Amino acid sequence: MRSALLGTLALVFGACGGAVPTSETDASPWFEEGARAAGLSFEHRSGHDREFYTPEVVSGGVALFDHDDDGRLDVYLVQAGSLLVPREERPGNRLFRNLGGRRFEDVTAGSGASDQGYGIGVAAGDADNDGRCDLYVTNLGPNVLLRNERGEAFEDVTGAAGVGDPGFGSSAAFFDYDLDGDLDLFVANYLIWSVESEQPCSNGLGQRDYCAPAVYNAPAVDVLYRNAGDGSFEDVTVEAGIDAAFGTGLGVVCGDFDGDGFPDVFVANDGRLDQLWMNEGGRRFQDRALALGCAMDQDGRAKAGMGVTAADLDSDGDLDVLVSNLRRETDSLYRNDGDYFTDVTARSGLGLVSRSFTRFGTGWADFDNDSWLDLYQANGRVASDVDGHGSSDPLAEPNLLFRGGPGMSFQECEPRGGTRELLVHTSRGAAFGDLDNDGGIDLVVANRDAAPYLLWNRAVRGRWLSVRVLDAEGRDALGAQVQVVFGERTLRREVRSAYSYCSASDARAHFGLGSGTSAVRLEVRWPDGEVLEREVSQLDRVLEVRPSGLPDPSEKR
Amino acid sequence: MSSRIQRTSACRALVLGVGLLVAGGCGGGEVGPGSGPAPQERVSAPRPESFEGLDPKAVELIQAAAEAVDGEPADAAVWGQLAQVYHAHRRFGLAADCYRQALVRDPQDARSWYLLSRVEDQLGETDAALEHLRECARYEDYPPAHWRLGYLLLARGELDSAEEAMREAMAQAPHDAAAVVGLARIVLQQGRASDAVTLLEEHLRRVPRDAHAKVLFGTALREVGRGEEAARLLAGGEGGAPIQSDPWEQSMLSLRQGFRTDFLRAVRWLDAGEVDRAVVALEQLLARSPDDVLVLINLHRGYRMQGKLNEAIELLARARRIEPLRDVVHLHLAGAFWEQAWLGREEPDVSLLGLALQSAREACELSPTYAAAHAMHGDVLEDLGRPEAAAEAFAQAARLDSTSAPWQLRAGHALCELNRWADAVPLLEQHGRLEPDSVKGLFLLSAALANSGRLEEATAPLERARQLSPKDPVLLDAIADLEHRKAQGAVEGQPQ
Repeated sequence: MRSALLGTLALVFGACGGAVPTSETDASPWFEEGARAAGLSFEHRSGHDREFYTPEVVSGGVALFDHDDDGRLDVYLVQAGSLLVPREERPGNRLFRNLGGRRFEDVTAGSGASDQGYGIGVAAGDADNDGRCDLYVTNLGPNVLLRNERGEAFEDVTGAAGVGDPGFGSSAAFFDYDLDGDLDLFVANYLIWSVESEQPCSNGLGQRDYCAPAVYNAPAVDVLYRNAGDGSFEDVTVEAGIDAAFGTGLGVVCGDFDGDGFPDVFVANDGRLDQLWMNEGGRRFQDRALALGCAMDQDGRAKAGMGVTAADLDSDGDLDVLVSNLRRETDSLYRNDGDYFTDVTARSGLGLVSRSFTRFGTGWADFDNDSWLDLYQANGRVASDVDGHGSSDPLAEPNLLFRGGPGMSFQECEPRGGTRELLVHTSRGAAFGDLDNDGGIDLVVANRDAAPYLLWNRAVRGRWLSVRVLDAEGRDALGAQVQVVFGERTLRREVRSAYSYCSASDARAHFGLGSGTSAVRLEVRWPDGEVLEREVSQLDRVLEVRPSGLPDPSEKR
Repeated sequence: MSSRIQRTSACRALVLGVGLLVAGGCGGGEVGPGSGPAPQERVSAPRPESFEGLDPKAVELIQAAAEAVDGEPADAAVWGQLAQVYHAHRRFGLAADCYRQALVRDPQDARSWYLLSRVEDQLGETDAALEHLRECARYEDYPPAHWRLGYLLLARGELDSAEEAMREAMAQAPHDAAAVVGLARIVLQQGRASDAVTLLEEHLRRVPRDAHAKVLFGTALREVGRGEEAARLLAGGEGGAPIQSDPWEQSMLSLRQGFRTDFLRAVRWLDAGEVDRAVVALEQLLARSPDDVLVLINLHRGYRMQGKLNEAIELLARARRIEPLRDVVHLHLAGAFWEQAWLGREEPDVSLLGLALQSAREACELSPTYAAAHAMHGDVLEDLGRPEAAAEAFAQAARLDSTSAPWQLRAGHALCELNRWADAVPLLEQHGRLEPDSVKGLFLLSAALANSGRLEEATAPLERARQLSPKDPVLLDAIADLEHRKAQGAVEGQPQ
């Protein structure tokens, strides 16, 4: 017995350093935080004081988009401010121009980009077909469409466009649901909420805290705007059937989940059934999430969905979905099996680690260019009812980085979150993109009541190809499908900006190709059905492709 | 449960010695087994930095348990008790610290290993939690230790080990719902859906009300290609909480003290029909906190169950004065006035119905997407003789919560009454998905289909209803009528 017990105690109490899963190891970090050094000077303000107003705990969007068409992604950060002061007294959102050389300049002043609503999130897309990327900002209160004026300034065209939904907007997505060549707009609403309708709630420690959404009995309808093509939009929520289900929408991703050529919409709802709005011929939508097995997890729990992303993770030709959820709930990884979705979270390796955090921003990207999609998750609690992570902010949590591998498998990377020093804040939106065009996907993460993270990709990386798919108007062809074939591998991406949480990411289709690849077969399928196929032997660059009849593809490095 | 290793004082002394020897040079600290330095043996109880948020009764309990530790610092049991008191009050860091102290003194205490693991799971220290569940299992056969180990391993994707743990739990308690359902989840993840179907079929024969298992069963059926049966089970949405019997955790949680705990206990009594006991407890709580709207609402429920409607309404009126914007207060007020309007009468009191209507409207205006408020609004409107408005309200409730079978049926029925047959069809179809064996629902669906001109489709639900209730004369008449109409339609449809 003695030896058995000695063994036990040695195992349990033995190492002073401990077998901490996130301990510092020799693993070289994939990211280096450099927001301040790069000039991204921004401090989010939730406005939280003594009261606990729900919008304070969900605000925090970021957009990566090329506002001046110089080939470099600029950064737009959504600001909140106090809920109790007039709009004009709020600090407003900020636009940072990418100067190259890993430097940014705040160009907000005089640009018209600084909406002063109580900001929650942002979507990016060319709403008026002028080839420039516009911004749609979701607020508590009327949302705002900011038209990009020749890459020099922004104009608030919300009124003329008719897209100022007054609800509690969260994530939004531009997509062409009716395939008429212009971008329509889907806006998720979280709750029907006002300062007056706030309720007193307590956490498990008996202290005042933020309420769960169910407390309000106030789920909301999401909104679908159809682009009329003349600068205005029509609210087609009812006509399209989107009003058939209510939710507490926080995350949105659009994609063609059933392969019928029409983009569908997945909405992650907080504590209610998630929705998969299947597009029926570009006219109506039907929520089929429950029938298809992606409304709730395997054993019938509607989790607190926050962020969402989609990709063909298993390279079988259809889109799989990942929903990030609340602490003590695992992520929900739904594998698309054609006729239905299968919850494969447990076998993916995402279960146990993710369960310890409240995950918001989430996205798949091949950070090390080994050809397998990795995963980054931006975390932060919504209630301070357990011991914190050593931060003065009781909601703060470390973020997570997972290395992807074959068979839809993931393994957490060390050091935790991918940075040498553990970063601990209350993270919300996360946007993904190659900010320095070096072939590595970088990140900008919005943090509540703190500066954002700018995570430069420093991973040892394989070869890569980034494909910017443009349409006839010269804008990102959202919804186009890009396939790359090399060796035994076939990788597919959709041209997409809206996923994660309240954020807009680089719309270029990025492919990591591993180390030994020298050429790939590229196929691009535009939403109108046109297909381009070509061999690409020059890798490690950004390739720009346009539909036929337009100038030959230009190639950038 | 049997103790696997006999404890002796000699063994305990030896273990304590080893523990001290091993732990000695590590410098203490709060992080413990498996996740950091081991604890130095403390000689006094750790106390929270602040008692903020804790009820005075909880503070008293903590202080008493801490003093017991200070008085007997070598006694594992008092450390274990203090740990459980902290655990019950969600002071997880302190609880972990105290469990570790208890275990240094008595490393064979299965319950402390188990509860330490529960705390570590809360703290996100899952590797340690796993290890300590295994420790627990070394010393005592406690099925929850095995199935919790199984669930953690499942979450970690270690499916074979998870299966082993679940089977061990089932070896100890063959019908333990948590273990059976856990095993079904694991085999589903392993792609063995037919095994999951077998397990869950058997389980649901034993526990037919396990709604959680029913949804999992639906998932398994879908994966074996029994899509229609699956759709029926899955149409209702969430399945509810899993059945988990865990006496050690329950015992620990029973230590929890405080207003909120007393309140939740009283509400549980109310829900379980122990009305008198609940009312006494709620009255005591109200005396402690006269402006607590949740207490007022639940005490009103108790009074209504006791038939004291006037007192119930008074409480709600008071709640409304305190929180005039709380939708649920207006909803309950509407319900109470509605009940009062009918009390002892053949026909309702219209003035009381007016008050009910006002409150229902208020609830709907405050929370326009509150399904229950719209349903209540519909009930009142119907009694006021406004069937069109009532049908709209029911339809709105049904739309807001498409997983509520009663509201689908209510809305469908109301629309049928108005001859809005085609509008009623989708609601009754949804009701049919939620409650496929409802004779009334099937009958109404058939009627709605037939009167919408869909005579052929109307047959199946009516036939199903007849199977369920073969001698119901209304159904037999309806079948005859439907056959007649179909025959007539065929004649009319023939070429002249």
